Amino acid sequence: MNNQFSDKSFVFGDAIDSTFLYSLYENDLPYIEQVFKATLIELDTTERLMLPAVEQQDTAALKKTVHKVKPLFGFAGLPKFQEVLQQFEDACSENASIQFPEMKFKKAFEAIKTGKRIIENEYAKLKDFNGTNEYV
Amino acid sequence: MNGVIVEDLPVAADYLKMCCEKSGLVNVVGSFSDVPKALEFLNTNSTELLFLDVEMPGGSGFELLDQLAWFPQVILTTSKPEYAFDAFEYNVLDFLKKPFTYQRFVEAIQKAQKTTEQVKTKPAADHIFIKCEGKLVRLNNNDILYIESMGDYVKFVTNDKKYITHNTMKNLEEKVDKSLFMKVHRSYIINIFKIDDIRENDLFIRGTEIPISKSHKPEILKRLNII
Repeated sequence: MNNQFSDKSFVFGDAIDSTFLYSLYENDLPYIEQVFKATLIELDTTERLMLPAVEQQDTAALKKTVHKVKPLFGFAGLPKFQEVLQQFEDACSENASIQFPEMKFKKAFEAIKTGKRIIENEYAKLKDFNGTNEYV
Repeated sequence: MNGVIVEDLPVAADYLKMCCEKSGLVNVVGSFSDVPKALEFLNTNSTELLFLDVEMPGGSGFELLDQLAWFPQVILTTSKPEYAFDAFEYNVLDFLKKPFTYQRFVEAIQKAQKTTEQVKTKPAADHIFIKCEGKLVRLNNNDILYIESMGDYVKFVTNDKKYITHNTMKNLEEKVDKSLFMKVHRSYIINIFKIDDIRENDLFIRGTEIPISKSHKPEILKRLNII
């Protein structure tokens, strides 16, 4: 791993579990920046895929999408958000043919939107810190 | 050891590649985001280690394992702990829940290394299993007369029957018991104890003429007990 920027003077926001993040990537801030960038691209795609499934309350499709996107939050230092999405996934399994898990879905959807905002902010800060001129 | 990644989440696939590179223990020879492309590669390229996600486009990781012509060591990577039971059914080596730490990754690789060492020191079995017509068929080495290449498939010929399976000569050359089998031509591996006679550029096994290539001839003569 590239330890060129082994500089803990960069401080992640409170929402990011920086201990967890460093346990995955050590101090490789350029790599973390790339992870944030790739995560945001995936989340954009996910939001587009989710909209029709949300309108139709298609539990199976939403469960599949959430399952796919869930680990992204872990990789981006938001393990608690990953847990919220896991709860929605579990609720979908339990209520498969009965009813749409409305409350759990709202929490999950909110987690995706909030998580995305957090990652966007952290990504912008990290790009400045690393001196990267590339834009998403 | 060589490894292949089958994972449709780019962040996860890149992280795995990074871990492999950092460890220096796994050389990633392929990375695929869907099951059909991964199968195409894996059924023509022998690989020691497979990092496999479960839910992917074109099929699940378990469906891929069902269609593989051989058995690599498998490390399942998924964020769904419920798949642990299926992992056990498929004799998967380890189970990495995403996102896993680098330390956890190394533990899994060390398990793979240990298993590889155990396989290397184990005496050769007197049989093999091949996937044929949807089932695993046991063939005793002593019953196999020769193996013939048929493009993406190979034909195992025994006294009683012929078996066709999805595999490659390159893969089989590495896997068969070399004390019994040897390659005599790019399209043939023979059981040396089944040779009836040898002519100039051919040998005969139970009436079937099998060509000997120039490059393999010296080795064949060396192996035979010629008085």
